[in-house]
Amino acid sequence: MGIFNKRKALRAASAAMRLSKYSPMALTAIAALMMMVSMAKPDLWRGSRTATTDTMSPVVKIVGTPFRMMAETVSDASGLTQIRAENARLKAENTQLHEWYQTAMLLRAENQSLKDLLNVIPEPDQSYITTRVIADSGSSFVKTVLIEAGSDNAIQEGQAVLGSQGMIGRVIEVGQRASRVLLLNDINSHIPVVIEGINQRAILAGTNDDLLTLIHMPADILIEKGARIVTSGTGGLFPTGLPIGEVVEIRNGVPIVHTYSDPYAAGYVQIVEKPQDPSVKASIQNLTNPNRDMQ
Amino acid sequence: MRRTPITGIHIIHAVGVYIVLLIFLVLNLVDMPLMGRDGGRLAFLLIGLYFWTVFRPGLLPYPLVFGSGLLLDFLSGGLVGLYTFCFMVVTMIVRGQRRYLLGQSWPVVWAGFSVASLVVTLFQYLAYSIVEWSILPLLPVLSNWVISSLLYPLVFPPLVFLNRILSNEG
Repeated sequence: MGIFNKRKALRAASAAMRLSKYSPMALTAIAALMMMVSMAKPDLWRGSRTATTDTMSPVVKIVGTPFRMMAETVSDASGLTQIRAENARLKAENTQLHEWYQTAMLLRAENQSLKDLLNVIPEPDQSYITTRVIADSGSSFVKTVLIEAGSDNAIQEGQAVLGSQGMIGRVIEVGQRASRVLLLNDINSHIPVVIEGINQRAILAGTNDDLLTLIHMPADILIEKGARIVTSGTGGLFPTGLPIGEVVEIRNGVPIVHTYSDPYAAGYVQIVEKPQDPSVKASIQNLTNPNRDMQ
Repeated sequence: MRRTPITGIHIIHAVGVYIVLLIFLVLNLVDMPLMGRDGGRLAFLLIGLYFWTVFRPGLLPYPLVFGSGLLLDFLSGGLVGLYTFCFMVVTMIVRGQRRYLLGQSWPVVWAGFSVASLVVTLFQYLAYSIVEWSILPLLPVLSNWVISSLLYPLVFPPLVFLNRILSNEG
C-alpha cells in the first residue's frame, strides 16, 4: 500500500513537473489560485514567507548596503549646504531644552513624591532592542519593513517598533534572523491610542497614505490641531504613552494625524519589549536563572 | 524535434542573467535615495524580466519567471501569487509580441515596458482594492508607475551592454 502511494505521488509529481515545464498557462493558473487562497486566508503562507525572509535577509542586506550608503551620502551632502542655519537653530533649541530640563526635573521630583504618598505600583521598566531596517515591501499597497532581528534576538510578534521620534509600527512576523514590521500607515494597521489633553481613547487607522485617521470616537468630541497622540496601552499589547504623532487637521469631522517619525527615514529602529506584570517578569527570571536567588 | 545540448557558454550566459535578476529582485525591496517613498521599486525586476524576455527568452523559462515572482511575493509580504501572476501574464504577452518589439527602435520597446508596467500596477491596485474592500488612493500608485517608466532608460543601457557581452561570448 505504501509503495503504491509512493508511486502514485511520484507519478503526480512528474506529471506536475511536465505540466509546469511545458504550459505557462498552467503556471499562471497556479499563481492565480495561490493569489485567491492568499486573499481568503492571508496567514496560510506565513511559514513559507518567514522562512524565505530568513534565508534571503543576508543577501538583501549585502545588496542594499551600497544604496543605504548612497542615501546617507546624499543626505549628508544636502545637510552640508544648510549647516549654518542648522547650527543657529540647534543653539536656540539647546537653550530652550536646558530650560525644559530644569522644569522636567522639578516635575519628576514632584511626581515621585506624589506617587510615594499614594503608594502607586511602579510601572515596569521598558527594555529595547535596537536594530537595522534592511528592506521594505517595495509596494504602494503594502506598508511593511524588514528588520535585521528575529527570535534569536528575543523579538516577539506584536511588539511596538519606534523610530527616532516615535512609534512607527508593530512586529507582525518573526523569523529566526529577520522580522517584518507592519507600519502604522498600512491600511490594515489599527492601534489603540489616547488623545492627550482631553484623555479620549480612539483607534489610529492607517490609510496607505502618509497621514493617518482617528476612528471609533464619540461624534461630539472636540479635538484641536496639534493634539498629541500616544498609545493607550489598551489590550496590554503596547506600553502606555508611546508617542505617535499629532493631529494636523480635521477633514470632514475626521481627525488626521501626522506621525512624528517618518517610517521610511528610519535606518535603525527600537523594538519595545511587551509590557509585563513585574511579578510575572520576576517569576520568568527566576525560572530562567534559578541560581540567582540562591546566591 | 532535436534539442540543442547545453554547453558551458550557455551556463555562463544563464548565470549572468540570473545574477542580474537576483540583484533586481533585491533592489525592488531597497529604499532608493532621491526616488521618493514608493518610487521605482516595482520596476526593477519587471524591467529585468521584460528585457530578457525580449532579447534572451531562451534563458528565461516560464518556471524561472514563476519562481522569481513567488520569491518577490514572499519577500514583499503582500498577497502571495500576485507578483507571480502579473509577471507570468506580462511574460506571455511580451513573448507573443517579441518579433515585433525586436524590429522596433528603443523608444517603442520603452513604451512597451510602460504599458506592461501599467498593466501590473493597475492589476495590483484592483486586487488590493478588492482585498481591503475600499478604494485605495490612486495618486501614489500612478506616480510610482511614472517613476517606474522613467527608470527604464536608466537601466536599459547597462542591460544592453551585458547582452552584447553575452552575445560576443556566444
